[in-house]
Formats: sequence, C-alpha cells, structure tokens
Amino acid sequence: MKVSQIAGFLGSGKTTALMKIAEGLVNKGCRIAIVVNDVGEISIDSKFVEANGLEAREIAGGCICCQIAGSFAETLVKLHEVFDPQIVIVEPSGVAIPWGLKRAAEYSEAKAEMIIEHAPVITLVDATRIDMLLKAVRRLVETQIRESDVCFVNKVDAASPEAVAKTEEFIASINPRAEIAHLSSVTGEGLDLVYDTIVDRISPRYDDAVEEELLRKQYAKRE
Amino acid sequence: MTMSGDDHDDLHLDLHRAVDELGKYAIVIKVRSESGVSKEEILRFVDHIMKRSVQICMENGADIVGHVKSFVWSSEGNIMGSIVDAAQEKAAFKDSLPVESLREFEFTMHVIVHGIWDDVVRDLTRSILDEVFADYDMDFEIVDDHYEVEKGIDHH
Repeated sequence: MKVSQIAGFLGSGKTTALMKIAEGLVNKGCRIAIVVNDVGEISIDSKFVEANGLEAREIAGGCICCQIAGSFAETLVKLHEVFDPQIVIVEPSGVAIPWGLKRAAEYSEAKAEMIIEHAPVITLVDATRIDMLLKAVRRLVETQIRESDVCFVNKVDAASPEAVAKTEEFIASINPRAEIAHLSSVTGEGLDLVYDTIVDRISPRYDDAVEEELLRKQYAKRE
Repeated sequence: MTMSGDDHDDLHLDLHRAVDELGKYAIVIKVRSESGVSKEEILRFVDHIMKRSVQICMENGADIVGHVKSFVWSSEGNIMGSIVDAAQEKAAFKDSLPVESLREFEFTMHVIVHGIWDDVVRDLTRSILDEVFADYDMDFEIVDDHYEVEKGIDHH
C-alpha cells in the first residue's frame, strides 16, 4: 500500500486539488482512500470527500505524526482490511512532519501483512496569498516546504506572474532540492505531473539516521 | 553533531505552538423551517454567516484567514462552502444539493483564523448567530460545539 502525503497551509487549495487528484487516479483504475487530519476537532473535508463517494477516514484530536501516530497506523490497517486501497492519500495537518508521518505509517506493518511504500511528499503553496502567508505564518510554510520532495505553486490561474515567480524563488531558497512545478485545479495544469508523482515514484522509507541528519541540517539555524 | 531527542521534541513543540496561534472553532447547528427554505436562500444564508464570521474575527484581532469552511448536509444532498481570504467577496461553493428547498438541514461551520485564541473565535462566532438568523425564516439549535484549548501543547 502506497501512502501519498499532500501538505500545504490552510486555504492553499489542498481539498480542491485532492478531489481532482483522487478523481483522476480513480479514472486511471486506482483504488484510492483518503485520510484527513485537519487542524482542530472537526474536518469539513472528510464530510465532503465521503459525500462525493470516496473512501475517507478522519483522524481528529492531534497531529498524526506524533500525538495520534497509533491511530493513523490503525486507520491504515483497517483500510487495508476493509478496502485494500492501492494508494492512501493523506492530507495532514499543517504541523505534521513528513518523516514522522512516514514512521507512523510504517507502524502499521507490524499490525497487518502489508508493506508500506511512500510517494514523494507533495506540498502546495498558494501563490495568490504568498505575501500574506510569509508575513503571518512564515514558519509553518517554511517547514512544509523544507520537508517536501515536490512543491507545487498552486492557483497559478489566479495569481499574477510576479506572485508565481516570487513563490518559486521562496521555495528554492528554503528547499533547493525540491522540484518546483505549477498547479491549477481550475485549468488542470500540473495534474498529470501529480498523478505521475504519486503513482510512478517512490520516496525513501523512514530512517532514524536520515531524519536526524535532515533535522540537523534544516533546523540548525534555530540553535 | 547530532540532534538529540530533546531537540526534536523542542522543534515539534515549536510547530504545535505555531499552530496554536491559529484560533479554531467548529459548530454544528440543526436548522429548521416549517414552510421550507429555498436553495437560493440557503446559499445566501451560508454566504452571509461565513462572511460575517470572517468579518467579526478580523475586526477583533485576527490578521489572516486560515480557512472558514462549511457543510450543509441533508439526506437530499450537500453544499460545501469555503472562504480562504478576508477579501473574498463571496464564499466559494461546491453544490451537490439537487433539490429546490429543504425543511431541515444540518449546518457545520469550521472557523480557523490566525492571531486570536480559540476562545475568542468561539465567542465571536457564537455572538453572530442570532443576528444572522434574524434575517431568515429559519429556527436553529446548536447540536455540537467543538471547542478546544491549545490541544497541541496540552499533549506535550
């Protein structure tokens, strides 16, 4: 079972993109489930996902990479037993650390006969609000960018060329190793690349030493 | 040099604190209308209450909208609403309600803004209910109130 993380700050267009992505993958014959872990106690997104006929699980009460990692692993086991999805798309809360989430997903291997694979971590960055985000919630946005493999500059249909360019420069300055691409759920730009990223590519499994090194490099400025 | 478990925990706590700078509140309301309420009126109501909740939060210290999302649910279908920017003139809707009117529906609204605490968001959101519903021929009853205080930090 492959786990695909799609991160991004609130309002970055995750839910709209996620529905398009799920629809596209289902049309390609993939069996998809969606796990939503929103900030706060309730998730509108999971209600919406379920109302649209997709297999959804809501995990409330904390961050799935630490506080409720066990619940996340149990959720994956239950999905495997009941629905056996090929791909589980996870919309984590704004503070889940991707490496921690990988570890939490791999916990499920001890509870059921399955092997977890990871798709590259995708982060959506809202180009239409880049100035506001950098002013008010820069730390959160930086963290999501640092931890991603592929960053999509989202809402490129509505953002000015200057805002798109500024968003790209910001991403590159935070995470030079990340691939940068454009996405629009309105025009469909970039969706094929998202499908290919999720279906055809693999991201490394959790590794204590790798995580430690990543954290050391990425957060050294804090010290 | 390696990062110790304590450093990792500190980082994680920092991130949770960052999220706790987001004021969060969710409410579930049962809405009834004896004579039935048209879909057009439901959409007007949802747009009204969502925009009003954003407005009152921004007037009282919030500096950015995380998101305000809503979900109208009935056995006939649903409507999802979303506002992600205080400057947004109208809520965005995903309309999956294939009927012209409803006598009863459940309305869930989730407000997340940056810059004010959970209890302020709760109080502000609840303070607009009577005012907004006064414009519509609908009765309401709060059936659930998802209020939490600094859940992320409490855990640690």
